[in-house]
Amino acid sequence: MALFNRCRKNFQCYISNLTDPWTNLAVEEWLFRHTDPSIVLLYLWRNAGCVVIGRNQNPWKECNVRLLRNDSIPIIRRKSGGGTVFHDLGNTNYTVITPRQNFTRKHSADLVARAIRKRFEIPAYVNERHDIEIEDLKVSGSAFKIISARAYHHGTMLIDTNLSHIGRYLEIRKNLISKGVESVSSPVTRLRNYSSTVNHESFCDAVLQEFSINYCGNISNPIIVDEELLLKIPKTLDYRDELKSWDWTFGQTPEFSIEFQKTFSWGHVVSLIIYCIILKGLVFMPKL
Amino acid sequence: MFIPTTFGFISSKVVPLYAPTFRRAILRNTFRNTPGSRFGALSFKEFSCKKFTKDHEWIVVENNLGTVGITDYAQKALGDVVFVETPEIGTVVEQSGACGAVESVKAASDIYAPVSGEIVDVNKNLAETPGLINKSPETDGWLCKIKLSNPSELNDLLEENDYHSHCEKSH
Repeated sequence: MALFNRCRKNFQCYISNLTDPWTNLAVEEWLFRHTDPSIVLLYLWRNAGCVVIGRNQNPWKECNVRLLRNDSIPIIRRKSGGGTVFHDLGNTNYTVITPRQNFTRKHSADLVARAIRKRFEIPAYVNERHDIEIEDLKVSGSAFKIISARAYHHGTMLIDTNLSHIGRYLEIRKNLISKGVESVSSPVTRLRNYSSTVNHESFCDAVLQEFSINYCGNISNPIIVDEELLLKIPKTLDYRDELKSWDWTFGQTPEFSIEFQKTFSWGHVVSLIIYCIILKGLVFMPKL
Repeated sequence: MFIPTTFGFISSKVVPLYAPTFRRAILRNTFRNTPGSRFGALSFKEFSCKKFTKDHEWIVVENNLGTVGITDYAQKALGDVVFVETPEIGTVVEQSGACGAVESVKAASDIYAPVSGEIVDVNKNLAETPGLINKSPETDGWLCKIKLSNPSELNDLLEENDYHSHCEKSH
């Protein structure tokens, strides 16, 4: 494949200059499933404002769907597990794709934290949940995916995100009981609070340098993901269409129930539980 | 190949009386089409066997019906399972095609069908108790049942000893 003419090593970096979240996730899926599984890939990308939920999560539980629709911020369901995150251009994502037998949850997070310490002199470290923190505040969360020959670790990095949007849009609904996976909330901070020189470009450069030295011993040239490259990998359009579909975004939600309670002036509390299953659309089954 | 016996080696072309295939043949001829026999209508029960894939799934086949799950090795690697995505009943799967997924605290992992066939049952207990996969990965934590469309695919899979060797090499 022509894309790998420059790669004679066991490592290659891709940096996206696109900001459409569905496109970036589709490119990630293509890199994961359609490139040489023996090569370690680093993919750096950022999205315009969106909320990204985990593979088995409930969007109605994890975020304010109505507010997001009113503010024209899309919800995207990714293929990996884990919790819900808010993305904007102040957040940079990194994906590390390795052969399955080399999969560890710690190694890539350690490299990213080390890159931040060395380049920006920010005291970042990896905690026991494999998040990256600074002074007990989270700057990066991770999720993981394993298939037959490969595995990936992808994570966020809050560089310059508008943190108020996280509280505004990510609001856990307590009366919704989901059989899916629930998010774990953490107090957050961002790299810009600790360094005036950090931005998307300098972060990408620092991470690329750290990974290059670790895997090849010298600096690797990245391949830029742009509209011209997308024309050479049309399969990404199929992945993008799937990610954008209602069936995937909302239809994959596991069973859930919503409980409504009302207290009347005469003292009785009436509870109504509605069980919801999504089968080619939303199906409600009330049960008193 | 030559089969060792008390009296030395015999050619495998002469099948000993204790060989499973010979016993099956005798029993089949005894009970099938026997007039007045109360066993005449019985079909013979094939031996069940447990096989493994390199991707850490197991399958036990009985009467052309395979019960599928992930191995103890896989559940240990995954960690605590928090959600199981089971395939839909009626889905036709191909060997090595995706037939579900498991999300654990460590990762989301695809599960692959050891053989081709139709999904005829799924373990509904996993919806309420995904941790069954950690507690009993190779018994109560089964994932789905497949009606085999090509039983010869079982020959592509690993025996238990070979699977354990494969796991040791992966370390």
